[in-house]
Order: sequence, then C-alpha cells, then structure tokens
Amino acid sequence: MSTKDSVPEAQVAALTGKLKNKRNARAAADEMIVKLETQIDALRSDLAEAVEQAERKESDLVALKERHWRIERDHAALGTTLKSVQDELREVTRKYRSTQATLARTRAGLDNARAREARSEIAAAELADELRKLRSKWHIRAMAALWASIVRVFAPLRNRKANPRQAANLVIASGLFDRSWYEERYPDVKQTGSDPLEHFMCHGWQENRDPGPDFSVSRYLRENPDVAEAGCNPLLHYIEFGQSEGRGAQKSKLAGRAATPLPTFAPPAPVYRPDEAERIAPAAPAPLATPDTPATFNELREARHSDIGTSAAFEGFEALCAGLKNGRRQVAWPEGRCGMPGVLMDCWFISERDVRLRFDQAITKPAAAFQVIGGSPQAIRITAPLGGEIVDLHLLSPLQPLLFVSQNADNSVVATLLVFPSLLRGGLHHLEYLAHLASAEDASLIDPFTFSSDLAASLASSRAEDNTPAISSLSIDLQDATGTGCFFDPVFRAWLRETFDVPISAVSGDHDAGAAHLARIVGQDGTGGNGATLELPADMVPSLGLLCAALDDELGRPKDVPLGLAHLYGVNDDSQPSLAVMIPAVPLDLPSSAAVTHFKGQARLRGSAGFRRHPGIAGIKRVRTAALSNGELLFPVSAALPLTGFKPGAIRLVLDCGGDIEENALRTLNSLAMQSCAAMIEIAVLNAASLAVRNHADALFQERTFEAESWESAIAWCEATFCGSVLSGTVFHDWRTLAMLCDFVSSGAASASCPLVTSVRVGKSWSTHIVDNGLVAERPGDPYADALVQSSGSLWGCTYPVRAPVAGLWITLTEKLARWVHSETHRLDRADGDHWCTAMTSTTFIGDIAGRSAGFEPPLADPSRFTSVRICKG
Amino acid sequence: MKITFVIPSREFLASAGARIRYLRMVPLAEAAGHSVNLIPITEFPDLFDAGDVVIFSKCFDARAIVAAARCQTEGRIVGIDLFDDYFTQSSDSRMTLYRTWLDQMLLRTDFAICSTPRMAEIVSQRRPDVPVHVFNDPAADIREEMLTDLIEEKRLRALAERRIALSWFGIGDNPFFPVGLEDLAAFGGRFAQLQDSGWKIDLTVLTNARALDADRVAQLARLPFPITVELWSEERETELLLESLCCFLPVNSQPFSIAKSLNRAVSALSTGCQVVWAGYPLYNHFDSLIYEDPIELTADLEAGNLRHSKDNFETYLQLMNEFASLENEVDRMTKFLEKIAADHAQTSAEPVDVSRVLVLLHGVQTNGHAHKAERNSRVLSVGTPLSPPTIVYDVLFAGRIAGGDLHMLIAEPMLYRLPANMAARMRFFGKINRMPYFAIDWPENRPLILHDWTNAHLAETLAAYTGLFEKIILRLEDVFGPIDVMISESSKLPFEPGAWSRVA
Repeated sequence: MSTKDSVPEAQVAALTGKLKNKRNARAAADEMIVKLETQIDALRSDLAEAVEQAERKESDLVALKERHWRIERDHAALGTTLKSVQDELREVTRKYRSTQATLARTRAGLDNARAREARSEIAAAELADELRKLRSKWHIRAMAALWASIVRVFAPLRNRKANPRQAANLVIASGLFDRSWYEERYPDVKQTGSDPLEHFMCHGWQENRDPGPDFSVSRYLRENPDVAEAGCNPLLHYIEFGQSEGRGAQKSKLAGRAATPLPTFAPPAPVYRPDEAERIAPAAPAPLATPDTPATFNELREARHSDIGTSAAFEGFEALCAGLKNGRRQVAWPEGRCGMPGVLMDCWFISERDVRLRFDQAITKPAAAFQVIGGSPQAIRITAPLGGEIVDLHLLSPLQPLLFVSQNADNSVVATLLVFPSLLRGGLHHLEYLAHLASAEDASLIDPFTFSSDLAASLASSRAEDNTPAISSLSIDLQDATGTGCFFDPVFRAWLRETFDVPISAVSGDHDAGAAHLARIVGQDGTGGNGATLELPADMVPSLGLLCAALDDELGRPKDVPLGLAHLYGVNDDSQPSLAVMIPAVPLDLPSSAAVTHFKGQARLRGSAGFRRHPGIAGIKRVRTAALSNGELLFPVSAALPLTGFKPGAIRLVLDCGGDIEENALRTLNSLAMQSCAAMIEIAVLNAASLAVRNHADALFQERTFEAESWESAIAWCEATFCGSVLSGTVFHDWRTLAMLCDFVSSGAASASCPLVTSVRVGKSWSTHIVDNGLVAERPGDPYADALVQSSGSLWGCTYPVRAPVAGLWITLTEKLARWVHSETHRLDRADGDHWCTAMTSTTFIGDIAGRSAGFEPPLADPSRFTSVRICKG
Repeated sequence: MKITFVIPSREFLASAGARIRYLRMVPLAEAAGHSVNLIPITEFPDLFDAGDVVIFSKCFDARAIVAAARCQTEGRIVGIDLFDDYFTQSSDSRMTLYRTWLDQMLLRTDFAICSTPRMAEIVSQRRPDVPVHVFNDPAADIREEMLTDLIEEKRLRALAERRIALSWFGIGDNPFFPVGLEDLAAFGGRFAQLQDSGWKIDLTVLTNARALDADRVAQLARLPFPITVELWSEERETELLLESLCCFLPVNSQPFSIAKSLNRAVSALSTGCQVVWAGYPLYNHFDSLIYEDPIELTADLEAGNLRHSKDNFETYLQLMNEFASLENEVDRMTKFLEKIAADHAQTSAEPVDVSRVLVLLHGVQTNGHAHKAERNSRVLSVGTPLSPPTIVYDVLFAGRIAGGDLHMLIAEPMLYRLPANMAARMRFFGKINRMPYFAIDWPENRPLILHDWTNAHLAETLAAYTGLFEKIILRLEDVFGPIDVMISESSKLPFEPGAWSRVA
C-alpha cells in the first residue's frame, strides 16, 4: 500500500476514532438525558406529592379550624350551661343554707327545750325530795317554804299561761302588736266589738292572724315547728324565748297590702217555727236598699235622675210592660242607654236563674231590680255575695226584660235596662251575641246591653203600624225531639207569647205517645200575621235577630220556597270560654242548594213573603262536647267542591319557615305527620334556613317533600287539587298532642277548630268524611252520614279560645292559587262559595306566629261566608 | 214448673233490672212450687235441663236466637222479657241491630213479658199473635206500718228548716239516648221558683260514675241551688230516700224514656217521699199521690195536706197493690205462664214440622259463639260474601250479586244433606280454610268472578246487604227446600236484612 493510500487510512481511522468517541459521547449524553429525565420525573412526582400533601394539610387546617370553631361554640354553650348550673347550684346552696339555718334554729330550740325540761326535772326532783323531808317533819313553816319555792320555780310558766293580763302586757310592751293595724286588716274583729288585743290573744293567733305588720304568725310557726307542735302563742314565744334563742321574726304578708272590705250579706230568710200560728209570708225581695229608699217601681221612677240613659231605661221598661206586641201602633224605642252607678265590667249567668253583675267599684248605694212578669214590673231579689263590686240578681225568668236601679253618689236614682238578658254569657242567646261581635266592624263598641237595645228598637219598629214582623209564626219539628228543649219550657213559651206574640205549631213525623204529648205542649196561639213561618228543630233556640226583624219586602212577592238558614252551634258547657261559630249563609238569589234544604235538622223559612237581604242566623243549637280523640280534624275544603277522591298527595302544603326558629318548623312537621291524612299531604318547604328541617321533612314525608325558593316554585308542577299555606310553628292536634294545649293556655296563643273533614274509625279502618262547611254531609240522605254530621257538629264544640284568625293558615284550589300567584288578580269568585280557611283543624300556634305572615297572602273572602271565631268578651 | 231466665252475663245480676225484676221474685215463685233459675247465656248451651219455660232477657245477639230455636225443637216454651225500648226509634240507624234481633226473636217465642203496657204495645205491633204479659217491677217493701209517721216527720222537719230535701237517683246516662242527668238538668230549674218564697232547696243526686262526665256535671252546676252528687249504691239509695222530703222524677218524651217502668216512683213513694214529676207523664197512674208543680207541693206542705200522706194512705195501698205488689205480680205471672204451658201442651201434641232446614246466616260481624252453638244443633251455618273469612261455614256464598252470579259452595261434610238431584250436579271447587268445598253448576252462573267484598267501601256494603240476603235465601230454598232462617249480625252499623226477616 502507498503513503497516499496510508494517509487517508490514518485519517479515516482518526475520523473513525473521533466518530466513535463522539458516538460514545452521545451515548453518554443520551444516558445522561435519560437519567436526568428520570430524575425530573421523580422530582415531578415528589412535587405532586408535596402539592397533594400541602392540599391535605390545608384541608386539615380548615377542618381543624372548623373543629376549633365548633369547640369554641360548644365551649360557649357549655359556658352558658355552666352558668345556669352555677346559678342553680347557687340557688340550691342558698336554699340548703337557709334550710340548715332553720334546722339549726330548730335544733337549738329543741336543745333549749330539753335543757329546760331537764332543769325542771331536777328542780321537781329536788322539790319532791324536800317535800318528802318536810312531810316527815310535818311542819307548817316547811310547807310554806315549799309552796314559796314551787311558786318561784314555775312563776314564768304560770305567768304566761295562767295570767292573760301579764301576757297581754308582754305583747304590748314588745311593740309587735299594732291595735289599729289589726282592726284595719281584720274588720270582722271590729264588727264584733271585741278588743283587738284580747281577740288576738284568745283566737287571733290560732287563726294565723298577724298581730302587726312586723310579725307573721304563720311564718314563725312554719319556721319553728317545735313551737307549732307545742301549741303556744307564737308571738309570746318569740318575745319570751325566740328572740333570745336567735329565732327570726318575719314581716306580715298583709303589711303592704290594702285592707279588704267586708262583704255585705243580705238578711237571712225568715225561719218557720211550728209553734208560730201564722204562716210566713213569702220572703220579700231583699235589695241593698236602706229603709228610707223608695222601693217600689213607681217610687223609683218618680225619683229617677234626669239623665237620658235612665229616662230611656224607665220608658223602655214601661213600653215592655205595656207590650210591644200590642196593637199596630207606632212605638218609638227610646234612645239612650246605660245609667249605671259605676262602670259595668262584666255581666253573666252564674246559674240558670242567677245573673251576676261586676262593677269597677263597690256599689254601696241602695239598689233594686225589676223584671216584666205578666205585663207588670216585679221586684227581684238582689244579693251582694262577694264584695261591693259584685251584685247577684235572682231572676224570676231568665228571658224577661230586666231593669237594674241604683243610686248615684248624689242619691239620684239611675237605671239601666237589659231587654234580652239571654244575650249574657250563659244565656240561651249568648252565641248570637258572639256571632254579632264576630261580624261587627268595631266589636269593642258592642256590649250585650247595646245589642239588646238595638234589637228592642228593631222589635218596636217591626210592630209599628206600617210594618210587618218578619216572623209571624213558629213551626216546631218534633222529629227525634226529647222534650228537653226550650220550646217545652213554659217560661220560654210565656216569654215568646208576651214579647213576640207568635203562634207556635208542631210538626211531627212520629206518631207515638211521646210525640203526641210534645205536640200538645208546644202548640200555643198568637196573633200571627203576614210574615214568614220559621221552621225549627225542637232542640234549637230561635234567634232574637230574626224574631225582632221586620219584613222588608216592599212588594210582598209570593215566594214559597224553603230557605236554608244559618245556625249557631255552641257547647253545653258555659264554663269554658266559648266561640261563636258562624256557618255560611245560603245566598238569597238561589233557591237554596239541594244539600241544605233536604238536610234534616235545619232551620227554614216558609211563607208568602221574601227577604231582600239575608235575615241572618235563625237558630241556636247547643251540643255536647266530644272528646278530641273522637275524630281528627283535618282540612277544610271549598264549599262547592267535594273532596271525594281524597288520595295520597291530594293536598300540597307550603310550609313557610321564613324567620322562624328550627324547632318550631320541626314541631309543625311532626304534628302534620301524626295526622291520619298525612299520606295525602305533599310538603313544599319554603325559606328553610336549616338543613335539619329539610332532612326531617324528607324523613317524614319521603318523596312527597321538596324545597322551594318562592311561591311560584312551590306550586309549580302541582298535581294536587288543593294547595294551602302553613306557617312554621303551627302545631296540628290530635289526641297525641293534647299536651300542646297546655302551651297555648299558658302563653295565650291562638287555637281553633273546624271539622270540615273528619276522619272516623269505622271498624278496623279509618274513613275520611267531608262535612261541607261543617254542616252538610257529602252524602246527604244516608242515615249514617247524618249521624256523622251530628258527631262532627259536636266537634265544633272542641274549640279553644282564639285571639284572631291567622293569615298564614289556609287552603284553596290549586288552580286558583296559581292564578292569583301568577296574575296577581286578587279577586274571588264568591258564587262558588270558596272557603278561605281561617280556622281549621285544631291547632296551636307557638312562637311569634301572629306577628308573621306567609310570603304570599291572598285576600280573604266575604267574612260572612266562612267560619269566624272570636274570643268571648269578658 | 221450672223457669229459666237466660241473662247476658253474671254481672247483669248486679244491675237494677235483674235486682228488681228477677231476684225479688225468686223466693215467692219457689214458695208457689216453681223453680226459678238465672243462667248466663254463655253457660246455657251446657245446661243439662233448661227447664219447661226459657225466658231470654237482654241477650241481644244471635246466640239467643239459636238457643230459642233449639229450645222450641226440644219442646220447651220460649219467651222474652223486654224492659228497655231499643226498638221503636225507626229513624235511628244505630238501633237496626236491635230491631233485627227483636224480629228474629219474636218469630221463635211463645210469649213475651214486658215491664210496661207501652213495651207490650211494641210487641203487639210487631207480632200481634204473641201473648204478652205486663210484669210490673215490684217494690222491695211498701212500708205499710211506718210510712205515715215517716211522712209526717219529714213534713215537720221541712217546715221547721224551711228546706226541701230533694233527691234524684238512678243511672245517669245511656249509650244511645240523653236520659238521667240530662233530664235532671233540663227540668231541675223549675224548683228555683220555690226559692223566691223563701224555701231552701238541697238536691242530692245518686248516680253511676260513668254518667258524671264534665259536660253533665257542668249542666248540673247550672241549676240554681246547691247540689250534692254521690255514687249510687242500693243502701245509699234507701238511706237517701228515707231522709228526703221529695224525689224529683223528670222524664223526657223520647220513645226510650216513655217506655220505662214505674219502679222509681214506687221506690220514692214507698220510702215516704213526695214525688214531683216533669216532662212526660209516665207516672200518671199515681196522679193522686204526686205533683207536677213544685209550688203545689210547698202549698200543700204548709197547709198540712200533702198528697202522699195518711189522708191518702188507702189510695197509696191500692195503687201499690195494683202496680208494685210482689205477691200479686208473681201470682199473675205464674198464672200467665201456667196458661201458656197448658196451651202449649195442646199444640205440642200436633206433629212438629221438622222438614224445614234451620239456617244461620252470618252477616258482616257475626257472633262466634252462635256459630259454635249451631254446630251442635244441626243448624246449617251459611256464610255470605260479607261474612268474616276465618270461619268454616257449611255453605258459603261468594261473588257478585249484580247479574245473579252468586256462587254457592257447599262443604264436603254437608253434601249428604242435599237432595239426590242436587248432589249429582256438584263439582269439586277447591279448599277454603282447609275445608273441601263443592260448587253447584247453576245454569245462570257465568265464569267465576269473585268480588272481593273485604275491601268494599262501607256505603257499597250497606247498599248491597238487603238484596244479597234475599238472593241467598232464594238460592238456599232452591237447593235445600223449605228453610227457617236466623241472622247473626252483631255490627252496630245499620245493616238492614230486609222485610222478609219479619215474615213468619
């Protein structure tokens, strides 16, 4: 090979070497890159891990912060609890110390008593010993010494027990006995003429009367049981021993209280003695009058005050004596009312025949009272049993007009007239008065006297020459009558005859001896006239409003259509605060719905005369109350639309929790779930602030509950026919929630009852029945339905005092609600008798429900068309 | 003659009804040579010898009907004793059960005993051919010897104290009707007028605890004079009446009340009480001894000529003799029963028609004891579609009534009772309650569609009841020939079996 050839070879070799080196270098670089990439990956993964770890730490930190916050909250709650526990502990400690102190005093007293007893025993033993010695000597001087020592030892005891004068001196010297205070606080002592100190020492302390403002007998005895046990005068004990033993004396409870005036009693009735030959004359009325007061009606009339109220009362009373019914003459009812000796605070029947008047001040001046009996004034007995501000009138008739006469401070005679005493609480027509209150614009202006006077004016006007009484006869339906209603009471029939002069006839579907007997009793004559005939079931009381009304049809068009009228239902028990329940009236332009007219037990008008306006309530019926457990009161429905297909999800209730505490919403949900209709309810929870409320609703109503943000969304996609509103804090009752009633009784919250739909247990199953407006069975004509109506009618009696209807508790047709919500057209189509419920199932409202209202408040319908409720006045 | 009174339970013996009507008569009836036995209906089926005369008292269920039917087939004389009117309130659906029971019972009784003419009238209206005897509630003691002195003593005390010691006693309530304390509250107010003339009224009420609920007590509290309420006991009643000047007896006019006996007036008069009544004139037989108006009572009291006093003592004895003498009442009743027995002896000589099949039809709520009782007495137990499904019936009806597709299933052990032509048409249906049942191929039967009556609405059941029973009876007559139907229905709902049940 040549050099030329060898050079390139060397170069090639060199280049090859270089190439090889470069290749090696590259391979190394690649290896390095791979290594670096691996390192980068590792670092990346480390970084991710670190980030993750950081995130975890961060969330841990948040959790810790939350925990810390919770702990802080719990700590605060515990602090509050601790504070209350500490307070309780402090209170308990205080009581414990006080008890300990009492105990210590008692022990000390007992120890002292024991010591005294021991000393006495020792002294007695010594004396006995001495006596024995003396006896053995039988010496007269020793006897004298013995007697002197006995007297010396027992001197304190003898002084206390045997010498009242010394004891009295001790009491006087103590300054704890206050003669004038004692006389003032215990006026009976003064009345008997006893010396106050003597009275206290002999009887007063035994009757727990205090000697003065600074010593309480009862407290001393309570705190010192040993003294009570010993049966000694506590004041004397305190003066002699108690104060030196460290026993305390408390002030008298009566110290700061005004003295109670003595009640005035009527003179006792004369007592017959068999040896007295003459018969005792009937007891004369015993008014509060003094002997020089004119007692007869005529004398009182002459002496009357000239104020307009008194004059009107006397004139009205005389007009009633003459008989408003008599003749077709123009009778003007006198205007003006209430000539009272003080402000009459309340007036009510305390029994069937006794009326109690309560004034704001004591009636110290003479009084008398009269009733129209047989067309002339008859004096009635008056007593004042409970103190000067209370006056009891023993009526001769609970229905006849009553004139109460008394004297003013200037001795002038004032009088007030109550034409219809039965309007008072406990009277036959009291419910009518309550109904009148419920429908009045300003109920505060209407008292039974005013209402009574208005009715009398209406009665006088209807008997005027150019008028015709609305009711010219009464027809009593004797079916199922028992003969215990007012129409079988001679006093009631006499009142009807004398005041209204309407003939009464009887209609009877029964033909047994009992019905025949009742028909004979009820029938009575009267003048009659062109007015209508009022048909009433025998157990109903005709309303005063209708009896006093004039026929107002100018044309006198014949209209012989039976007309269903409204009734009032009331409970028998007048001791309970009662409600007026106004049942919707039937519109006059319709010949009354079939359901109403053929329903048994209705009041109806029959005759050739019509009314231009609805004559109002026709009858009052009293029913026995039924226990709350007899039926669960559920939901009211439209007056026109029956709820026949009551099925699960038939009603959607919007539970508005806005602004209320969680606990109230939970109680509302619980009480709804307890209702037997719970399966029919869908719940839309509105404004739920707490998750607990939503979860609880889910747990109770499962898929039938959802959350809504507004009324629009609450009723969106609603397939239920009915939709209603319930405010959080409304607790629906059934027998399991009776304890809830205690809540409202103590807090004065509202509650109401309206059995428009009742659930009744039939055999083993529950049956839901709808009672339209509380009156008409959904299936009229069915005897069983009638019975149900009877029972639910009595459920109206399951009512409790209410202040006012609550706006946030109602139910209506979903489609109407949707229309109102969306179009904001607040107009009701009243022809179909929409029932805007203001009082529904028996409920209690807890919390501040009266102050709140639902987010959406539809307008109320005509108030006369729905159940209205109002607390009884007075 | 051996007389057996079948009563609802042993507890019934403590009631006023049993005490006054039965226990008082036992010694006298036995002295007259008769044997009187009181037996609860639960023990009646086990009785070895039920006696010659069996009288059912207050046993308002199917057991009495089945027992009466059995007694008749055994040749005994069967009667019922009625002293409470649960039957004439035709518009009251709660009384349907009682009306159906009475109609069924009267078909199987030879006579009836009633406490008053009014109750006798009720029986006569329903079954004019059934002889009725009025057995007045007898007085325990008419106190002939000491009564005039007692009355005079009460009069003097009342005048001296110017006080009317007034009393009211008795059961204060009833599950169906307003009675007792409600009457007292309704009519008691008329004594208030006496207070206007200076009389003090003190009313003492003796009644049962159940009646003293809040409502009734509240009603009583409305009376305008003081009232003391005590729980009733027989001893306390006597003690109170012996102390009281006057006993107030208000009676309302509903059918239940006007059918009551005179026993309260008798008790009051025989303890020297003046009686003031109110409401319905139930006690008008005693008009010459009692008052309607309290004012008249006080006028007579002051004038010294009370109606119930020694001046009228002859009248008192005469009226007691007529309406409350134990001897007379027992004598009259035994004579009545002897006459019935004599008549029965004549008719029983005639052959008894045994061809009729006795059938007990079970209603919606039947009496299990009646079912057991009829198992022993060859009575056919028939279940209707409405009857409880747990009982094994001899014949079971199922299906609808509309269109007549009512299936009649007969239990295997009963097949032998079918006529031969019917037995041939039977085909096996299946087992119900482990009992093999056979169905008859009836031409008008369509394919079996059993209607589930257990879930039927109440209104539907009520409506179907009458028609269903009529159809079942027609079908039973077709299969078994002449039948004698008894109905066991204890439901308090108004299940009315129809007019056919009243036809003999």
